[in-house]
Amino acid sequence: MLTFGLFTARRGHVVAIRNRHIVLAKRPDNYPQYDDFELTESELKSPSDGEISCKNLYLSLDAGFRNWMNESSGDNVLPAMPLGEPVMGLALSRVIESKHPDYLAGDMLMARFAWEEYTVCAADDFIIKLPAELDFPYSYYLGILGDTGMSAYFGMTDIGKPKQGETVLVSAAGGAVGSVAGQIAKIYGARTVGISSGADKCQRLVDELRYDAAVDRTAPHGIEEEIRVVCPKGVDVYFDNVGGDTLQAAIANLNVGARIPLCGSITTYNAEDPLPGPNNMFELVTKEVTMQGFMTHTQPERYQAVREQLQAWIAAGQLKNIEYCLEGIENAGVAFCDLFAGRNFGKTVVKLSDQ
Amino acid sequence: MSNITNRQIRLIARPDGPIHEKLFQTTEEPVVALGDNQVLLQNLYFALDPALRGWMDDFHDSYIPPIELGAVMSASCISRVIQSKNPDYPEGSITRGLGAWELYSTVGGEGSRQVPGLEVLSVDPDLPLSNYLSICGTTGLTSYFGMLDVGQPKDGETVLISGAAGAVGSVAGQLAKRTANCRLVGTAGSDEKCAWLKDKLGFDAVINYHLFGDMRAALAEHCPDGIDLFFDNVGGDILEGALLNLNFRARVLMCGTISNYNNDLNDRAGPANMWQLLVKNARIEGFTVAFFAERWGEGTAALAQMVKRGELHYKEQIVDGLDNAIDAFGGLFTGANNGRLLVKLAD
Repeated sequence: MLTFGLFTARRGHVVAIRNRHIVLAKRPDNYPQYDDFELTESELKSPSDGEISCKNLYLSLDAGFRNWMNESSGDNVLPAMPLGEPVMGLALSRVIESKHPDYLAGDMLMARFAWEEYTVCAADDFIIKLPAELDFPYSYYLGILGDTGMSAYFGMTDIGKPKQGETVLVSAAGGAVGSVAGQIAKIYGARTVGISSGADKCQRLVDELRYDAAVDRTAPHGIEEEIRVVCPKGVDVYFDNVGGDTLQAAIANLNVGARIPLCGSITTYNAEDPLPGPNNMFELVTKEVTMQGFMTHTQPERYQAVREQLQAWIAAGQLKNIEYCLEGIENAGVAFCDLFAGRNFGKTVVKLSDQ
Repeated sequence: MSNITNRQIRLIARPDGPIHEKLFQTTEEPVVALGDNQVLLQNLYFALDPALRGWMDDFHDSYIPPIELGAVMSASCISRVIQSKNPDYPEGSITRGLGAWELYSTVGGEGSRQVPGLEVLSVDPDLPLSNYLSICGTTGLTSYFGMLDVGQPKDGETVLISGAAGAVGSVAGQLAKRTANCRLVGTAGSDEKCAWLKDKLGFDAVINYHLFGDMRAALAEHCPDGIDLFFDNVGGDILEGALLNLNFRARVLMCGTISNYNNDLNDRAGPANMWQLLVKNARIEGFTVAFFAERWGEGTAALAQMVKRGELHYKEQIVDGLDNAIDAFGGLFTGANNGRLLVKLAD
């Protein structure tokens, strides 16, 4: 049995715990750089009434959070992250002390916390409670069994709806969501084609993620032509994680009735001014295309059922978890920058603790 | 034998900007005798549709192959069968189909009685024939299927229509109001058009887009509860501004992108703010009326009933004679037209 006695107190004597955070030191200009982030320390405070104190075991690094590092986040979902404060992000955490009726010490959570070793907060934000006994490694619950897997599943199943024999094209196909989305499309019987950069990653798409073929976005004749060559029957589903030129190139290759789940737009997060979208929007009209944006946090009630489906696929060997893992809170900023530099393959996580 | 002379307007150069006369050539030639299964149509009306502009370019991967250089310009036509060697199209019947900018068209043949895309209309004698290219034609049907089948406005929603005074937008707006108790907001290009939308068609608010530099702010003011359904005929700045005002799970119906048609593909800027689709779980749905082809009969009849009962306002602008077609077509892109633009060739 595990103990959760980090706060173990002998009658009012709380052992001081050092908490380390990565704060947003300055707002990134274009691609995030290591020195946009800084390590700070504080003493962990006790939770007040209605608050919980959690130990963060793993952090999930997600490109989408880049948008909220800009001064104006440009949306009404979340406000811009304040400078000097721990960077907002998803964490796999264990409750170590609770003054909230819904939570007990020992509860495992997937939550929108911050890049820090411990988080003390009011338990009213985006928090999902996980089963007490976890069958898979912790990091899976941030990746393939967490928001990442949910994104891939919701986008591919609800919006993409690939049919047997259709061609499904996935951008950032080796990324966290892409790596799962492609495998799900394959389970549904589609021909899957992944887009990545460089011959090495393209080979890994085929070897490790069971893509039928890969499109190298650095191909000399351009990505639009390369998609045409690799998808001679056109594209029925384009699962978009990147936006920008790749979206435009994919639209040019769509079949009539195609679907585009819009899952991410990594190429536009870095821009302070909004970038133009695809210039061939008229093709959406003439090909009767549906392009649908989605964010998973709007459907938490479905997480449990979807997680069970994903677990079943993993257990059956149909779905693989691919991970890019760095260790230690000091590497959170590094891992985040690696995402944008394309150094990751699979889900990017930072491991803070085993227990 | 025929001694009829046909006259037609041919496309002789690809446009690289606005429409002008030098892209076209008027030619004359005799009508030749009919072969088996062929039909000679006298064209009565044809429609000048913004979408034709796309067919003049050869860089699209589009639903209709580009009009070849030297070929006669295409258009939807209402015609009368004046000679027939095809029992499916008896002399005197009125037809509708994809025709051309010419006085007469010889169609069909090749060993089959079927002439693809050419329908014999059962014309309601109480309605002017021109209605079958406008309110009861492709534009009306686009509004009908777009708004009622794809858009499906609901009570309490805010519905925005761009190009609201146009042939598609104006009917779409009226259908939205008939279907749902919604807040209906339209954009148009003149105060006169805006007044018509508000006073005659029941729009709750209108925006003259020439008077606003900042569409985001203008839309925020007139759609204070956000936009639930956007029927977009225009694209460009209005779409960009609308994306920033979408409600959660909003639907953007993409019917046209007229603001872009005259630009070369390389000069076209796509809409910024696409990221909004993600954070709002919103969708863009492209559609054309062609996808509802099997239900055109149903739609035409439903619209004809509403028109006969005086329940739908619509505008037709009828230009007389083939020679005025080019000028009138160019005017579509500058907002000079007022209503569904048709060219009348004969009674």
